[in-house]
Amino acid sequence: MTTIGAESAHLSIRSLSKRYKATVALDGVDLDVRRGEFVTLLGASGSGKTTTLQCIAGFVSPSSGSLLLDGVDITTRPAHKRNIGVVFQNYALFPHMTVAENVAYSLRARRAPKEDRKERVAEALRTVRLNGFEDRKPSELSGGQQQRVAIARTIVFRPDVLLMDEPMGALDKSLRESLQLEVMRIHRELGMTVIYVTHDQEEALTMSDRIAIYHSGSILQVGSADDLYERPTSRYVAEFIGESNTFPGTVEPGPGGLALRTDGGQLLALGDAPRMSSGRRAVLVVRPERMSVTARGAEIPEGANHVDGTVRDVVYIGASLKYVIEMAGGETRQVRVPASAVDPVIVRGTSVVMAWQPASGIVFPEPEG
Amino acid sequence: MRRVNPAVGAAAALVAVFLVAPTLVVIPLSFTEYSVLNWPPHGFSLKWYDEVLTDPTWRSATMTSLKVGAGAALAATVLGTGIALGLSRGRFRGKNVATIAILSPMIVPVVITAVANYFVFVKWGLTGTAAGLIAAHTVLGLPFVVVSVSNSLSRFDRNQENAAYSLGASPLFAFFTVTLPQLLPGVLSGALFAFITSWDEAIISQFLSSPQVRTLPSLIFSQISSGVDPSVAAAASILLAVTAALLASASIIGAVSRRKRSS
Repeated sequence: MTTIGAESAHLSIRSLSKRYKATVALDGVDLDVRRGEFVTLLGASGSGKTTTLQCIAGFVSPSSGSLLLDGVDITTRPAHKRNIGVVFQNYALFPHMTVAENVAYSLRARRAPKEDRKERVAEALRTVRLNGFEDRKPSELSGGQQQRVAIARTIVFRPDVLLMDEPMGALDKSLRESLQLEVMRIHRELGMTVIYVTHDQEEALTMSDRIAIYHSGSILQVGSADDLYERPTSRYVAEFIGESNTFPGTVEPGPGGLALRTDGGQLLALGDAPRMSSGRRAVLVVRPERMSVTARGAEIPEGANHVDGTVRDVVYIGASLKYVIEMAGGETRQVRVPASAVDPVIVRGTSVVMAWQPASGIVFPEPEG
Repeated sequence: MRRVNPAVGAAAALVAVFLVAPTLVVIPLSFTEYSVLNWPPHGFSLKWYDEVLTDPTWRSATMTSLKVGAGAALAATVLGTGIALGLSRGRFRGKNVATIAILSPMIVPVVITAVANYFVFVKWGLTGTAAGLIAAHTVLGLPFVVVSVSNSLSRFDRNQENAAYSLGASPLFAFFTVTLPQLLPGVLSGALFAFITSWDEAIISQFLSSPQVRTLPSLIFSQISSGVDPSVAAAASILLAVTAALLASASIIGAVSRRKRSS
C-alpha cells in the first residue's frame, strides 16, 4: 500500500464521517491525493464513495472530519467557493441553455470578461472535440456528446480538482470505452487532479493511478491496480478485484511451517503467513492464473499444493482458457491457463489435479465466532 | 391520440354544454337593442358596450379589477413560489399543517373567508381600499401558485443546482439563472390562475368594496340587485372574454412546456 505524506498532498481527506439519522454513510475515511493524480473510488452502491465525493464538492457537509486543499481547511467552505469541478452521472446540463451557454456558465458566474469567454468556451469544446456544436441545445445531442459538454463545462474554469461521479454510468459499452480514453487524454493534457467514482472494476483498473476500495462506509485499501491485485490486504479486496478461488479452513502445523486444513479435509501449505497461529479460522485465496491443471497421475511440481477434481466446463476467453473444476464436495474452483499452454488431453469430464506453489496463495484470518 | 368512444364523447359534450351554456346566454343578451334584459334579445346594438366602456362607474370598476388582479397575482406568485420551494426542500416540524393551511382557501367557503377578512380589515382600516382587496385576493390565489410551482419542482433535478454551485454560482445567481427559468411554466400558469381568481371573485369584493373602490364582479352584483339593465350583460361578457383568454393562454403554456419536455 502506498501512502503519501500529507504535506505533498493536493487534497487531503481526514477521518471524514457522515451520519444520517440511523445510518452511517461514511465512517472515518482518510485519503491523500497528489496533484495531478487520477484516483478512483471503487465500491458497491451504498459503500460511501458518492457521499465522499459530495463532501469534497461541498454538496453535503460531513458530520466530522476535515478536508484540506493545498493544506487549507475547506471543510465548511460553500460549494461555489471551492473551485472544484463536478461531472455528474446524469450530466446535469442546463436544458434551457445552448451548449455554448452551458460551457460559459462558470465564466459568467465568475464575471469573466466577455471577450475572454468566447475564446475559452471554444478551447474547452475543442478539447472534448465538440467544436461546431455551440448553438445546439443539450436535448439535441446524444448521451456521449452530452457528457462531453458536461466535461467541457467543468474544465473551462480550470478547477483545482475534477470530481466525476459515475460519468459513464448511462452510456453503452463501446461508447464508454471511447469516452474513457477521452477522459484519460484530457487528464494527461490538462494535468488536473481527478477523483473518479465508479462501481465498474474494469473502468477503475484501466483509468486510475490509484484506486481506493470502499466497503460499508470505509476505505479498505488504497493502491495501484497491481497492488490491489497482487497484494490485497483483506479477503474482501482479494475477492472484489479480479477472480479468485477461496479455500476456507483451520490453521494447523504442517510439514514445513503452518498449513491450512480445509473444510474438505485437504492439508494445504501456506507461504508467508504472518499474524497466523494454529487453530485460527482462515481462508486461503489463490488467483485462477496462478494454478495449473494436469491430468490425474501426471507429475506434480515439488512442494506444490494440489487438490483433485473433475473438469466441469472449459471456457475460451480470448488468449486464455478457463477450466471450471468440481472438487470432491461438489464445489467448483476456476483455473485460467494461457491458450498456448493448453493440454489437449484435458476436456470436460477429465479427472485432474489443480496445483499451485504455496507462495502464490494469500491467507486471511476469518472473523472469530 | 387515443380514440374516444363516441358515447363517452357525446356524454362529455352534453356535460360541457350544461356547464357552459347558461354562462354564454349573457353574450347575445349584451347585444340587445332593448333597455331591459329579456329573452330572446331583440335586434343588434353595441350601445351597452359603449356605455360600459365610457360610463365612469363601469370604467373605474374595470380599472380597479385590473389593478387588484395584477397586484394579487404578483404577490401570490412571489409568495407562492417561495412557499413551494420551502415546502419541497425545507425540513421542519408542522410541514403538513403548513401545507394544509396554505391550500385551505381552495376548500373553505369563500363567504367565511370574506366575513373573517371583513372584521379584521375594518379594524386595520383596509376595507374599501385596493390594498385590502389585493391582500384578500392574494390569499385566494396563493394555493394555485403553490400547486403549479410544486408540480414544476417535482420534475426539477436538484443536481442542476449542485452543478451550478460547483461552477461557481452563488445560491442567488443559481436560483435566477438555473432554477427559476426551469420553473417558469409553473410560475406563469400559477400567476394566470391567481389573476383569474381575483378577476372574477365577487364575494370578498362585495364585503371589502366601497362605492369608490369597487371591482367589476362586485359592481355587476349590485347593478343586478338594483335593477336590470343590459349594460350588466355587456360587462359580464367582457369579464368572461378576459377570463377565457387567460385560461387559453394557461393551457398554451402547459402544452408548450409539455412539448419541450417530450422532445
